[in-house]
Amino acid sequence: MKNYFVYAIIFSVIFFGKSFPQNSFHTQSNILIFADHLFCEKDFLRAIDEYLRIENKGDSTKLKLAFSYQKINNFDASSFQFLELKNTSVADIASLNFYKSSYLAENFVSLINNFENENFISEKYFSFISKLYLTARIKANHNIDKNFDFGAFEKSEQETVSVLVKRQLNPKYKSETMAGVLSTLIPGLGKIYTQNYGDGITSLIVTGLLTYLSVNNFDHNHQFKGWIFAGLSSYFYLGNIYGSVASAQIFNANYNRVTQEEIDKFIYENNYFLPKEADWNCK
Amino acid sequence: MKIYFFSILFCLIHFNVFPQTEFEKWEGKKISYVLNENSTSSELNFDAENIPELFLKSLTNLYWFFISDVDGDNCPFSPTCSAFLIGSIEETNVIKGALMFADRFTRDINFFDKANAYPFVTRGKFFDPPQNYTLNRESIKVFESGKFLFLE
Repeated sequence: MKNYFVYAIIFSVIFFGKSFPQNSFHTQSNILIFADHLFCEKDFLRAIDEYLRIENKGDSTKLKLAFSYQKINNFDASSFQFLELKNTSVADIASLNFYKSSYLAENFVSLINNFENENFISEKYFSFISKLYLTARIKANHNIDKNFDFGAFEKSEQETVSVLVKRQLNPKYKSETMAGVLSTLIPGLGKIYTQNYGDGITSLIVTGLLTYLSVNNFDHNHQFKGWIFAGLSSYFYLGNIYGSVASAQIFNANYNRVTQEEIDKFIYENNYFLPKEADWNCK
Repeated sequence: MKIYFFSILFCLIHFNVFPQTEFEKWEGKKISYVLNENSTSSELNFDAENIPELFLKSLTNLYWFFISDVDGDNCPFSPTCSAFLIGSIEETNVIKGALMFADRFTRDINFFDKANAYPFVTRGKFFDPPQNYTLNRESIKVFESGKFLFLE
């Protein structure tokens, strides 16, 4: 009798367990809690999946979804999501991050156009966004002149910005023509002009040595050897002219790279993107 | 005794009928250890559009077959000088490619300050692609010199 009672309990548990399983794990509120947890854990990729499962998203949920897209560098999706938050309770922070997404996507023209057309600009973060706009202009070299307005920047920052603007206004490029001409006159001089001193000296030595060998062989009536060295000398001489022009181009490209990196460094050091008010209620 | 039997039976049936499907999310993948096509630069080929290109490629192939493969991987650059020649001819034309090679060869024998002039990639090779020397500004890609460059 006792055994039948035990069996009855076991089978009833199994039967009810299978017939009425606990299916409340995937309610909308639980998904939101889990998504927020993933967001706080900075697992943005999985947080996006969970946020997308929520049917009626609140403003803060949409904001977190947009922010998650931004964190995984999907700037098109994040810009779209931030723009959706226009005229909502979180419009200020969404506006700031809308511009941040454009900046990070290096979509400077769009950023500049949006700002100039006063599209989705938060009054609360106006100073941040206007600094971002000005920095984008410097970075994209867009309508920069001597009368560039530094007004939006703090006094302590204006000196750095003026240096960056000067770099863009008067880039210290090396002339490709000059490099070519110098190398034509003296082999390697064009490379020295583009600050590749070692390459320049090597060019001079190689071309000089081959020319000497050519002349020396002609002097000693070794016509065949003389012509071979003359050919090699001419070949390296022409290569040196070509290389000097290429070297000037690379110098200029490198100059641009360094300028862009300095602007980025300035942006990140001054933390324009994330004001301290941003709080996601993570424990 | 019977209760243990039923419990074990229940567990066996239950685990097999309702297996833990969460593991599927991990999506185990088969790893291929086959080298990709770009892993070696010294693959002999005679694909050429004209006779001078065929001549230069043949010279390079001969160099690879008789000297480079025997001598070992000694060029400090990536791509190597011979691969640079092939690359520059393919990027531009025979004349321009030959001039680019002369310039590269001069830079190769420069013993002054190579270490800080280029970024370096795996095995400490200096990264110096032919695309930077085609005189086309759009194709130039520069990186910080003296630093390791991770190429995908």
